[in-house]
Amino acid sequence: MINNIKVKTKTLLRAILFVFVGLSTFVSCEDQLEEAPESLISLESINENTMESLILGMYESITRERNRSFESRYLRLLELQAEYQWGRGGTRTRLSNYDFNGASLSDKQTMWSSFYKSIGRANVLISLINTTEDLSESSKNLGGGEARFFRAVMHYQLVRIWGQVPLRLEPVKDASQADLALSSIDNIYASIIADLQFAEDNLPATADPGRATAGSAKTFLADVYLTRKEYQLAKDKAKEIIDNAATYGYELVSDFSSLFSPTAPTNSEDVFSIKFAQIIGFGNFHTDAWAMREPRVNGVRLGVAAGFSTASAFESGNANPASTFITGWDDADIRKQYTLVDKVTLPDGTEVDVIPQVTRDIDLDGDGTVETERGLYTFGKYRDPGSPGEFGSGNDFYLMRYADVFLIYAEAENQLNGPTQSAIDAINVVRDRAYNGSAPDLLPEEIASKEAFDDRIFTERGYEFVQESKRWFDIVRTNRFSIISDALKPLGPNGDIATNPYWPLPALETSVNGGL
Amino acid sequence: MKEKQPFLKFTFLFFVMLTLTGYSQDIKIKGNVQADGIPLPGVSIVIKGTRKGTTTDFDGEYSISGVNKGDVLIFSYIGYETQEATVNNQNTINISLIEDNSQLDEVVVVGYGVKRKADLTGSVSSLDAKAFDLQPVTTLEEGMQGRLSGVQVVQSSGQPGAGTSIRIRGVASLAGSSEPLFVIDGIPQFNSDVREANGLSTLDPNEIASIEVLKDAASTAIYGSRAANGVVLITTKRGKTGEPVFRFSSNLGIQSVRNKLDLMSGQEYVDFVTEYYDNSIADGDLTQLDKDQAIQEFQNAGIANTDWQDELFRSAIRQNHSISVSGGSETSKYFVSLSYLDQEGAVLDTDFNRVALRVNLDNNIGSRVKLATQLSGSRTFQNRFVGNDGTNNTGGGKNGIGSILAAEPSIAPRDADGNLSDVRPYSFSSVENQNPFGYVEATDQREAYRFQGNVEARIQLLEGLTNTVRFGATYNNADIGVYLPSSLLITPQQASIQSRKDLNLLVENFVTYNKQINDNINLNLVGGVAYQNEISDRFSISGQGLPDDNLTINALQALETVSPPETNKVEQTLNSVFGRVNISIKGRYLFNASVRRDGASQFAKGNKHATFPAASLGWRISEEEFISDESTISNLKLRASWGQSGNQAILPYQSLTIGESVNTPQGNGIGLNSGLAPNLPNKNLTWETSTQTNLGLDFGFADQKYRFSFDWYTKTTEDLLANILLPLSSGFSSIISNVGEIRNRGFEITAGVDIPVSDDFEILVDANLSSNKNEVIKTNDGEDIITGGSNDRTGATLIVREGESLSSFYMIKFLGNDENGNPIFEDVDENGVIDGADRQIVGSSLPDFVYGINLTANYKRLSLGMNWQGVSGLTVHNSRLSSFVGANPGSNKRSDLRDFTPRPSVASAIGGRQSDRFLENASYLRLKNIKLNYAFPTEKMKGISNLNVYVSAQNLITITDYSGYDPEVNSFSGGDLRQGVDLSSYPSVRTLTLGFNLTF
Repeated sequence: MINNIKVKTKTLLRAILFVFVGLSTFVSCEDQLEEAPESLISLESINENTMESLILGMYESITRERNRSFESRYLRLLELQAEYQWGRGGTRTRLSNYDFNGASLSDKQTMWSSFYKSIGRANVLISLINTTEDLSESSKNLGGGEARFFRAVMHYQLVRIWGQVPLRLEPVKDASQADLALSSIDNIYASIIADLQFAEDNLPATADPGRATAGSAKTFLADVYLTRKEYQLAKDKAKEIIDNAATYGYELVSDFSSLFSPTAPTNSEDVFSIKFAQIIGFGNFHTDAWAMREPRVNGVRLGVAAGFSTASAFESGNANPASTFITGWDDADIRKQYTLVDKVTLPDGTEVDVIPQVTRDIDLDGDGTVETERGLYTFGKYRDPGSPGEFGSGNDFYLMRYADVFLIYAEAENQLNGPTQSAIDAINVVRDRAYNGSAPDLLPEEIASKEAFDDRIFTERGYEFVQESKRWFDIVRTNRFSIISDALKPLGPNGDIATNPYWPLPALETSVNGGL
Repeated sequence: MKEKQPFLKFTFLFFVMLTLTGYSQDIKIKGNVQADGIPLPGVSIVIKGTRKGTTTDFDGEYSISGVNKGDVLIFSYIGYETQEATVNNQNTINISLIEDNSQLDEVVVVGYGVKRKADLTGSVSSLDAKAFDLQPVTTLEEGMQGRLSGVQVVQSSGQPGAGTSIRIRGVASLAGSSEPLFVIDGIPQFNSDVREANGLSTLDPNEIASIEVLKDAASTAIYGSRAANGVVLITTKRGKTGEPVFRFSSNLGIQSVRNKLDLMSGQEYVDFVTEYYDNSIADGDLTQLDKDQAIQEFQNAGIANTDWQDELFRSAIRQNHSISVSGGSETSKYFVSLSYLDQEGAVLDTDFNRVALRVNLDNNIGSRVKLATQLSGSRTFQNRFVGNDGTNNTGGGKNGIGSILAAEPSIAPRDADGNLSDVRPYSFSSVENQNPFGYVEATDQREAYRFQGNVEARIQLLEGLTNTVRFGATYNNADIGVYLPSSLLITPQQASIQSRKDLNLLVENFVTYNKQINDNINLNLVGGVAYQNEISDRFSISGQGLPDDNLTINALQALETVSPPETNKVEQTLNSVFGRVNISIKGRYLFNASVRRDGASQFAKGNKHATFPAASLGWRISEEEFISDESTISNLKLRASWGQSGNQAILPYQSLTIGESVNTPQGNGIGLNSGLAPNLPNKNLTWETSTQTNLGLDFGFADQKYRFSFDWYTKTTEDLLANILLPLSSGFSSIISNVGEIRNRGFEITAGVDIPVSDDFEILVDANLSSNKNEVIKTNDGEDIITGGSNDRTGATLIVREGESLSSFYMIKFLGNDENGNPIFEDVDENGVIDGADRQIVGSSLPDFVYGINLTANYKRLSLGMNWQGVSGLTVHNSRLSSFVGANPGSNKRSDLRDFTPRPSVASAIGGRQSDRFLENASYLRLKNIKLNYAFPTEKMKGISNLNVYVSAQNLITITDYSGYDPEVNSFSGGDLRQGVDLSSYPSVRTLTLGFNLTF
């Protein structure tokens, strides 16, 4: 028995040892629980390569499908607030009638979200540049310049659409830092100007397509000055760009339609644009959003026959027949021929009239009775017959092109000194291109006074930038709300948009941001 | 190298084990104890008149030393008649015990061991293979439905091979998963493997020996950090000693759509559109111009009368065959099975098929080592109808079933030339409409290969002391291929392939010690360690523009444009130590305690480890002396348990500061550039912890002919993993955090009765009823979490709000139509505008009751089985209904549209906006299965031991008020907060089956 017990004890000890060995080998390996992701990049610190990737990542949030900003909503929503646009259906109708509260929340919210996502990424980048010692000073300035440029451009969109907004200049590192109060419009502009000034000093004169340059920063700066009514600063900055155009490679392209090519990577007029590729998910939706919705004519879809789009046809809006901007547009203007469409040639050669799909009850002829009127034209600035499908059109979207600079100069100079020859020369650079190199002279009454010429410049900006989402900002900036009622559009159901021309803050911001 | 560590360790351990070879011992008797050929573990063996004794091991084997000739061994096991055997000259004594009464002594599998039902102190529901014989099921989950108390099984749709969600005792997670942990033959499966890849659909139900569902924390805590939603243990069949037994079973079924929806005919649709224009013109909302255009368009296209459902639905064949052989010697046993399932869908061009092979082996290596090996492989192939498995979140006409329901009935499917017709011939046609035959031509297939192999070595170190080493590997490879042909209008000629590979490795070592300390006290100890690791690889590529539709996904190099391919590799690791003590005193007082400590890679540094304890008590009153042996009470037991378990089902790397690769055309203009998007890590991320208390009562009398069981539980889950909202201006929309608390509280009743009517007629009834009440106790700062709404096109939102049930629908409330037939909604904030601010809680998709009734009647050689199954007190959002009864023309409508929208017009079209009028009571009671079986007399059939022929019907009767295809529907996957949503889901089918089982 004693022997038996001994054996048992010995075996038991072995067993205990066995379990102990097992325990120690498996469980003591704490490093097994360390995560080492192989498909992701650690951002504890950065180098030149990761900095470059982070810059591209910053742009990504506004170029991608489904964030629904520049690839569809920015154009659709803001353009519909032009007096010459009639929106078609639902939220588009409400926005074009300035019912900011009634229009879909999610449409506006996703724009807000993608702008701030970009700003957030820019702030992470700026912070990493500041905390990484290994980066060279020139890299820091280059990366910091592009991040600040981008942050300024995004804040510039926000402040013009929503007015007072949170001014984000620091990255959010945990939930406790997420709340932030609104800043005053003056403070937001001060930050935008400071960021753009840093960028113009540190960015290169030229860069890859769609990347910010010193010229991009200066042009935005001129535009911001104009918005702030700092006419001398705006004029000087515009003149600086024009005088140094060769440095930045800026020149108006002679063929207006080639500006909107779905395949060209860039052109000499491109100051800063959002780039789209003919790849589904990385292209724009503009072609589909504005293509004729009318069903097949002789078995052919009009949007396809017109070379607008290959997939869908949403016809987001039509030209307002009560708008003198539309009805007074000279047929000889190449820009009108390109942008406003009322006829389509089918593949068999027959030409058919487009039936615009928006109808409204208005008193167009002023006889005191309301009648049903149809929209005049569909808009055709973005066409991509080679698009692979929805969200796959390659046309870029300009935030600034060289034509902006001349029109900024003309407007600022006129505000300072009246319709001087240099102001007239500047507007004519843009007009000449629209008339194959030689535009008819401006009428005497158009240059009779500062006010008259200012009106003329406003109209010219419309012709040049229709479908580029600048009209609404111009109306607000120059306080021209009267043209809206002149064009028989209601000024919103909730009172005077002139005193509060801003969209309400998105619900997800107001409900979650404890700083508001 | 790091990945190879487990192999090395395993090898090392194996050699350690081999050194523990034999040691000298005195005279000894060995043998095995079994009942009906099934080994009985835990049988007590005592030398009469002494305190010396032992117990049988997992395989019913025992050995006892120090025995003298003439000694008498007493074999006792609760529930079995005690036997004595006198020792003569033999070394081996094999004993076959005879049952005292049934059921109580069934052995159930618990984590890292087995237990008799009578000794259970926690809450465990179990099913054995017989339950699967009761109905010709094709998946494991189907066989579980309605048969286990506290378990809710919901199929996502009627599509063959569709996913299923399983809920044990309610839902308790926000960003984590609410699915239970599945353990197949001892190998815990990673959640994504089972659910996301639908891994269970690869198992043939014929291979299953038993399913045990561990529900209370005392039962689940041994699985620690993954057990908060319960544990489902799946055990496959094994060979038994004896001649080879062949079993062949085969059945053939014919399936048809259970109920068609009553939609408009072509003329009804034209009349409706005309009425819409007339009413709207009268209201001044539309003009005569608009109506003239519409009428002209009808005339141009010609008015057909197409029943799109009839065009696309069919009677479909299902066949299922399986053959198995099992047998073996004392030292070597085998079970081999091969099965084939081929199931057509009731919608054209959909099907599911599966080939599964399994080899289970048991070998004795010497006298001390037993090796159990399980090898299985399967291939499944599913043809889907584009976007209908619940993972696709487009609705409307942009998916297969949606396109059938949306297509306007006034359009013929094909034009005069036989080409697919344009399904948007009218300017009011919805731009989402697609010709459903375009989806028939489309490809949407899922092909999955799954291999699982595990080897378990059980080494007897001492009497009662066994060490088990378990090594397991699961490999899963699934490819999803989608091609949309040129006949579709939106994104035609688009091809994509998504591929995933998962490799899951497990190494476990645990020691089991079983000791009969004296006549009164039995001790059982388990202690061990585990290491599990999973590496997942994802690859996807998509592009557009194929020269020929026939190439589908088989020649992506022919695509005109290709998006950048994406690859992603994710790894996660779990390290564990666990232990358990079971003490049984006099077979009456049962005590059980367990603990597991887990370390998981996906949590933040410093938060990677957690401990999950549990304890339980049982009192078998029926074994007390004051209950006389003559009493009719055969079982009376009180149970109480408390414990904690966790949930770690979140994605890895969320606590690290990282950048994700993204693409942008910026900086290029034509092609793409790659950039980095920084994340917002949570450096404090840790587990969800569930604390559960369970009280139970088991009661049976008349030899368990009448049995009843009741369980009450309350389960509180804290530190919920949730995506908490951040202000959008922060640059991030949410951050995953540990916030909030949810409580599930409820009860479960099971009852059964065997009614022996006469010698050759008996009726067996088993029923179960479960009720669970879910309440969100706490959210982050009391904030609501709102999900859904925009992207999924349901327009429905669900809300997580303190004091309410999870999965509460949050919508505007429809009050009725006014005298003009225009809808009125409740203006909660009374500001005159109906918008998001007017939403309120209007229902929950969680049921009040889940129940099942199983009836078996055996008369001579005939048996009739019925499986009734139901849920009650829940709502489902029938999202399609909004376009079926909304006044906007553009897609097909229900024939009874005017019951909802009496006066179709522009003004009344707002009635189609999502509101609580599209929430429907989805309670149902269903005769899930009825089966009539005849067992042939085989005495005179040479070589045949069993022959059964049966006829059966599934889904024969469904009693429900739900107006969609089926009340059992869940279009979003189990990990989503949007539960109880029906997004034009695949219709359910009724199946008639003829089949036989043959054993020889």
